[in-house]
Amino acid sequence: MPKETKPRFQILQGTLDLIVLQTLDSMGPQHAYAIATRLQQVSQDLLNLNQGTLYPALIRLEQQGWIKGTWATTENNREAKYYAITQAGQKALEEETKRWRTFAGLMEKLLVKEP
Amino acid sequence: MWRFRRLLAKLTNLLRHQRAEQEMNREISSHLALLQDEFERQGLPAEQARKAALRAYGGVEQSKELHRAERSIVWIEQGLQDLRHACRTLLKSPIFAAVGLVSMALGIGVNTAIFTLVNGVLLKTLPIAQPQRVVQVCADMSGSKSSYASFPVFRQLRSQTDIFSDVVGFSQGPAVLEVNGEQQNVKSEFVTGSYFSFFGARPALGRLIDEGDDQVEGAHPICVLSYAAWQRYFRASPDALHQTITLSGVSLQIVGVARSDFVGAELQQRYDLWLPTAMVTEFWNPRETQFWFWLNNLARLKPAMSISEAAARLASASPSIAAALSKQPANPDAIYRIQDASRGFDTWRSSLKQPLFVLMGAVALVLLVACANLANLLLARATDRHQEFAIKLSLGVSRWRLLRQLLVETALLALGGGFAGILGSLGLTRVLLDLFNTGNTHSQLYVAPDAAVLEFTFSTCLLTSLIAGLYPAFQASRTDVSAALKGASLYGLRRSYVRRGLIVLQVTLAVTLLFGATLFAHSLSRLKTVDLGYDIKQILTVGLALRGPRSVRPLHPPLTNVVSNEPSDLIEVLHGIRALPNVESAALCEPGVLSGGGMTSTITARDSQGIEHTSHNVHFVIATSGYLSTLRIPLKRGRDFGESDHVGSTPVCIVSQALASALWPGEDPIGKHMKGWNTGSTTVEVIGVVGNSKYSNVREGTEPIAYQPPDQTPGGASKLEVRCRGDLVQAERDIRQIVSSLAPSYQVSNAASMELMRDSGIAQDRLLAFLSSLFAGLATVLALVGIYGLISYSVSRRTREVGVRMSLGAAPAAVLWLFLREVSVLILAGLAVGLPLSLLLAAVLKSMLFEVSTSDPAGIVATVSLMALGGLVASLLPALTAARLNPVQALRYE
Repeated sequence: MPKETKPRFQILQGTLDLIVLQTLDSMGPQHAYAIATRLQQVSQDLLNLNQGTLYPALIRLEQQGWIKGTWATTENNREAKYYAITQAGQKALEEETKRWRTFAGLMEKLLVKEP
Repeated sequence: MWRFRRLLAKLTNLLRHQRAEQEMNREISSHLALLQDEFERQGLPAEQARKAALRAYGGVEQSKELHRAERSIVWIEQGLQDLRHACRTLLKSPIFAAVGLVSMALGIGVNTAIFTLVNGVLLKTLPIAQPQRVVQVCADMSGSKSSYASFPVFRQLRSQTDIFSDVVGFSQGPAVLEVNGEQQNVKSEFVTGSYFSFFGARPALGRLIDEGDDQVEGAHPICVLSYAAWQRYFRASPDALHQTITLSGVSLQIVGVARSDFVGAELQQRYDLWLPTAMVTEFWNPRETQFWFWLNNLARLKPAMSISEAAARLASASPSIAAALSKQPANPDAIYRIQDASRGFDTWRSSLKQPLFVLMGAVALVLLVACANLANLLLARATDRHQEFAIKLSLGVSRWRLLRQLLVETALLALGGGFAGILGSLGLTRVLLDLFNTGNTHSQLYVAPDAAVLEFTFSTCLLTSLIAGLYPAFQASRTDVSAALKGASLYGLRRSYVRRGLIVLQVTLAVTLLFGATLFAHSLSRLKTVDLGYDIKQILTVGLALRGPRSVRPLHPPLTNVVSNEPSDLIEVLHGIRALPNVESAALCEPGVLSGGGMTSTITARDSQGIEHTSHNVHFVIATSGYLSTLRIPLKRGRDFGESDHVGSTPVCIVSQALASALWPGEDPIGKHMKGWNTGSTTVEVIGVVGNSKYSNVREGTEPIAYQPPDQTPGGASKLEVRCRGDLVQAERDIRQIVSSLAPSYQVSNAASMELMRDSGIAQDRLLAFLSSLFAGLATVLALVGIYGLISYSVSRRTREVGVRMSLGAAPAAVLWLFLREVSVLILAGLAVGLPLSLLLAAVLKSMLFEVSTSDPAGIVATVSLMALGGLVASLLPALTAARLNPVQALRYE
């Protein structure tokens, strides 16, 4: 019997940054593991995402000054680096969301089959 | 903004690689710990939870690479890694690094020094807009070309406004400057009115010379100082402006200072001050003098005028230029030619082009020898390191990365050597220029390194590291991993052939350079020992010049006033000098031998049968009595000039043997008469015959010379030849003292020993002999170091074999021979290729040699023996070590 497979998506270049920003904006400061878990929950494992692949996005965002990482302790007394969105990050999130919406709307219009 | 922040962050991470790595590892292990906690909470045992965490995380090492790629710039980071690695490796073997660095420093240093000359003399262009539109005009007089023009000719050239947009003239001026009561030797230059504007120059202070200053002869006694002279004589004080300085007795007002970067028409010359050509009348001759060719020129072509079109127009305008001059133009048949001057006026370019090419070729050979040395070292080292390479390769370092690492090592050596080489070349360039300029008072060669030199050196370094490093690195990257790890010791037989080949190459190149050097050295010694026809040791030549403006001073007063029988100032000076205790004898003359200048004309005479003989290009010497004995020119027949040969008496002359046999073949010349331009309309009577001698330079052949007393010629004589006893410096001081006390209307314009003057005439030969010896020496030492290295290595490799041979009864001499034979073969091979190559290349040097054949047997013998002796010494040290081995220890050697 063939194994049931869900369709998994390769994540679009640049989209991951937006998702991470959005996650941090809505959930407050999180460490990388929490962000990854959250992504998997929300996407219901639709995203093809090794947890390690999150790091390039985090480094990019931090180097751009949109998020900021600080070392802290979890409730289970493990140390972890917590990332928080910065003011510049919030502004960027707004702009990126707007752009994404425009783009998605455009795609939607283009994909509608004319009757 | 954020893009810039990101770049900044990446660059910072390049520098804090270690900390970034730590931070990354910390974060990843924290992440894994959290994951493991989670899996344990779901009920997995610790070990399984750890594995599950790793799976969920994905490949840790891959993610690290992604991490690194994201946080910084990968290729730079890897390059820096290679660099750090190379530094560490080199520091671990300091002797190898030192030998490699020194080889490179020598090779690159001499190349940089010679390129500094090549760049300064041959390549640099005028620092102005569109230098390629600048040309110089030469007069072509039925084959003999001259760049000098009279002022009337210059004016005619300048009026060719359909060809040129501007023409400037310039000529070296008087050299004695009095500042604050002190005499200084300076370089001054007469320039035409538009000289400074031609080069777009602007003043650092005051104003520069303009057209208004150069209109009326003698009307504007002004000058402009160079920036360096302003600093030297006035400590860069603004008060210098409008001060008066005295140049050869003529007062000039300083109206401005040129900027420090102003050079002018000749890129290799530096002047201290400039004055308008209109002032030349006050110093030497009226500016308008037709027969006086003293101005060099540069011209700027009109826009859209090509050089060939300009040349054609100027050639067709030449007759009208001659016609416009006067009824009797000086050079009626002169055709004016145009030649490119985008690199400034051709002061040195043509004459130094060939020697510089030869030198550049020589240093390229030295660099090749140095490269071969380095390649040999690298190959030897690669043999020692093959296990390291094998381990690296088996650990997954790519062959390409290994190749790159080794090339970075070589490049590091080359760049380090290049840096040291640049520092060394600065010193060497200075030594060369000093050597070249010694005694040359007329024009001094001046060059300095610039950005082009740095560029050249940098690219040479990179090229060198490729030439030397590519083959060894390529070989290393092809290491056979399994064989090497098993400890295969017969590793790279082919490599040892390559090493031997490199030694043969080094010997070949060194032989070529050695042979060239012996030719130049031999040529120089011929030049220094050639019979001049006189004895120049202990002779001091002192030039005297009348002080003060020409308009108020007499023109060449007779030495002895016939009417009052009163001696002139010059005769007083001559008597005063002859009376000095450290002077043996002295005489006045013009123009003085070996000065480079001269007076030449055609002489005709009739022999006893009445047949007329003509001798062209007869050189003239104007000389008082005592001249011949002072220079020790042998008087073959007749008498020397005497006190009675003055203005009113019978015009007389003395002739050289060459002139005598040309005019009166087979007859006694005494009492015969001759006639020529320098004698005026009268005929002069021959009273003596002297030996042949060189006139203006050492290289010339036997030329006819005529001597005349000063009071019977229009020119007069103002040069002193003094034969001194003891120290020449002291004698010069005494002579200056006599001049200033006995003849205040004169001043010493220059003074030099005749040996120095001879040396300045052969400056190029001295430079070539010195440099070729230096380069040949370097190449030979490098080749010998290579031989030493190869034999040392061979001794260490064959220690066990030597042990076996010795225990089987081989004598130490046989062991010695074992290694000496190896060297002999290499040196013989090098000589076999090198000697024919040298003989072939030597043909290029023919025109630069003096009385030395390009297949000079002495040179061949010297080259062969030097190379053989050197090879013996270089190989004897390691070979003796082998011969002295204890067989028992040798057998145990691993």
